[in-house]
Amino acid sequence: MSPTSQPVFDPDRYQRYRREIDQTLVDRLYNLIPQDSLFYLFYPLVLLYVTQGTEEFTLTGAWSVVVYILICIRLVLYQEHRMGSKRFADYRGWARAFTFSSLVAGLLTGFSVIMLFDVATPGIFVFAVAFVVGLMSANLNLSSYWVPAQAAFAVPTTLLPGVRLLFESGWLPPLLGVLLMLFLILSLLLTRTLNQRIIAQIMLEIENRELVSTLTLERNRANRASGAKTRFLAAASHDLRQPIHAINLLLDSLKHVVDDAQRQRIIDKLETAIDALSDLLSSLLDISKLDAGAVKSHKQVVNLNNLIEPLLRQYAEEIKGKSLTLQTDDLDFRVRSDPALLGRIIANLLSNAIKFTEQGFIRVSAELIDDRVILKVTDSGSGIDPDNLERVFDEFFQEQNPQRDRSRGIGLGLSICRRISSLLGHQMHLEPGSAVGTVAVLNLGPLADATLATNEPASPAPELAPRSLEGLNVLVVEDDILVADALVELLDGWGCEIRAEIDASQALACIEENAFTADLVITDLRLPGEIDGLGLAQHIVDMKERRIGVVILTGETDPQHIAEVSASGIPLLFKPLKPARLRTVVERTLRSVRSND
Amino acid sequence: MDILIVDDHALFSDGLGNLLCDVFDDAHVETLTSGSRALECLNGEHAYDLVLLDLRLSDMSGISVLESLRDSDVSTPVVIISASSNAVDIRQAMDAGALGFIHKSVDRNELKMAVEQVLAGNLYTSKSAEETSRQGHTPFTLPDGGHLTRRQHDVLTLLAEGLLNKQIAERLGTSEHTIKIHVSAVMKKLGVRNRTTCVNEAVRLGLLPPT
Repeated sequence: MSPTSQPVFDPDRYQRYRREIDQTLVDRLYNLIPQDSLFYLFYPLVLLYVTQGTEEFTLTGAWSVVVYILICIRLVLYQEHRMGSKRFADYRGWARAFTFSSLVAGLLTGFSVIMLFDVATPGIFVFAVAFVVGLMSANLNLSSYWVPAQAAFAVPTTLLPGVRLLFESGWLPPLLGVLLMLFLILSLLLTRTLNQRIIAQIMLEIENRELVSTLTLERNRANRASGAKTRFLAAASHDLRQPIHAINLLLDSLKHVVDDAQRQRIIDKLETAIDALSDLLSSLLDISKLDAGAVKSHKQVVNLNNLIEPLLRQYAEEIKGKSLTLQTDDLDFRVRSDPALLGRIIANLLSNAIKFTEQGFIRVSAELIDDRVILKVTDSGSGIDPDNLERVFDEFFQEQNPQRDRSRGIGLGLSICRRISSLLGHQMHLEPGSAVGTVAVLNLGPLADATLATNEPASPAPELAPRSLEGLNVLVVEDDILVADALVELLDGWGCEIRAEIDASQALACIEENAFTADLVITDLRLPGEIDGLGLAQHIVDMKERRIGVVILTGETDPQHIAEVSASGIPLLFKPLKPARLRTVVERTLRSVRSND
Repeated sequence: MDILIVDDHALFSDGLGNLLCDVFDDAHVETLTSGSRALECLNGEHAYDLVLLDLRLSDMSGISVLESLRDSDVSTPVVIISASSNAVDIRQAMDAGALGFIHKSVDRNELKMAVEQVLAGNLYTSKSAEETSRQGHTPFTLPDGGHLTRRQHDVLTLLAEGLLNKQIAERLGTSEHTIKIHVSAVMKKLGVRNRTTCVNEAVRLGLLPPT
């Protein structure tokens, strides 16, 4: 925008929108024809009046007829253009026609001045020239829409009388001729400026229009999305309310039932209702996680056989229970996918297939079509109405469940599958089976490069950091065999290597002679011999470079003894020994010994 | 058994508390909703046997509670109970010193098992439970469901060869006292009183090959 906020002509942008702008210009040009024609209507009448009774009257009459024919032709063209006639292929054709008619008009106008030359009294001649100049000025504003047309009109209109004037005697007519030509140049320059301003204006309009249409598109999209969300929420809350109503009713009847068997039946139903509620909530959570992009896929090479076989085992009972036959093809394909997420999709498809098939078979097959691995889960069930093959992916859409019977699912499974499959980049759709049933088709992309690392067999569970005490060397110093017994049993169960000593001096000897490289010493507070547990512990703490952790055990209740140990900062545990507490303290002690550099 | 439940959903704490009292006859349950209050209580006079801690509390995260406890001298074992089953959450909690991680969808049996496992000094996460059940029993399972540890089995094998405690200690590179403790544990588990019947019983149970 320029400081005056006047639209600025920008040649680059003009080139980009050229077609559209020129089209608009030509349309406006044609719309101006009636106005334009009004000027012409009077000019011949004036000339006829002036020339009446002279020998030029006949010529003027003929000239007038030609002018009126031209006006008629232009008005016809105007009408045709307005009605969208196909006389000319495109706007360029219409523009050429207009330019040609302008040339004719210009020649006629220019000729009219020359025509009057010999007759006219100077007054009338000056009138004619003034009229032409006025005509051009008026036209300037109107036909600046199309520069060629304006030029085709202006050049003959001005040039014919101008050149003729140069050949007149005296000083005034040639001067007038020169001025006329200057006027021509000025008017052409002005036309160009006006034209550019108009183009800038039109460009602005086009851009505004585009902006508005983009905004409208965006708004419509947002409206659609918000509408979908509202419908989703409505359906979700409707389905959430069902089990809650049921739970309320069941609880109410539970209050009044005394019979044990009946009570149990109600409790079973309560459990079913709560399971339904919790299934629905976790599915909703899955959808929101998937929509929020919180689920990340970890693609690797997956062998379909390894992925699907455990799933089939999982559903084997259900398939057998419904007397269906399970058919599997060779599934020995490797694809790039996320085993956990792909497994969820396939499990869902299997469970759907079983749910909607009362007799016949379930088939899982894979084949290579156009270098793509296509996995199919086919059933011989009731099938899906072809009109609904896409709608079944909508949230809460259930084809055969108008009563929203819980046992037929909640209508979110396929919506979740669709989201997961698009996350994995696998296309997925449903087809009607050849005679009966439905085929779920999953395009898993090209075969994976066999040289890449694979996950065979598939193990989707992420690693949990081990925090084991396995192999930890623990020196137990305890003279009470029962306590030592329990302690060793516990430590042994943790996988520790244990050495037991009876008193402090033996324990110290064992450490100092490197008979046992202890990581941890667990000592009783009261020990036989000269050094007690606290003394031993302090000795070990002093051997900093060995980095041995110490924990003291005691059955002591004497507050003074306890205060003494507490003051030393060495962890103290009371008997009877509590394993979880010991583990907490042991881990903490090891952590602090190891981090003390 | 004194259990402290820290969860900002009182409804859930009550339900869990009821279940715990139901499962463990000696359970006494207290509930709190804020992490800072929980830290105060744990640092106080009363010693709890177990804390069940939610990861999301109103005032601080369960992880920060764990970290504060780790830097204190409170040795109360903590089990996280969370609605999350996210591996990252589990790992963070276990790294911060939790002994267990239970999902809030836990049922009576799992809750019982988890609490018992942790109180016995083992780590428990729902995932690790799955793994253990997949691995099946250890090879040295006893009829009463208990089992011998690897070390105890080694000692038993040497015992069957007729070695004395001192000789076994030399073989295994440890002290005689250590072996004495192992032998006494094995005899207790097999329900026998002397070394000869111990070997016979072990053979009968299939823990040792017949001689």
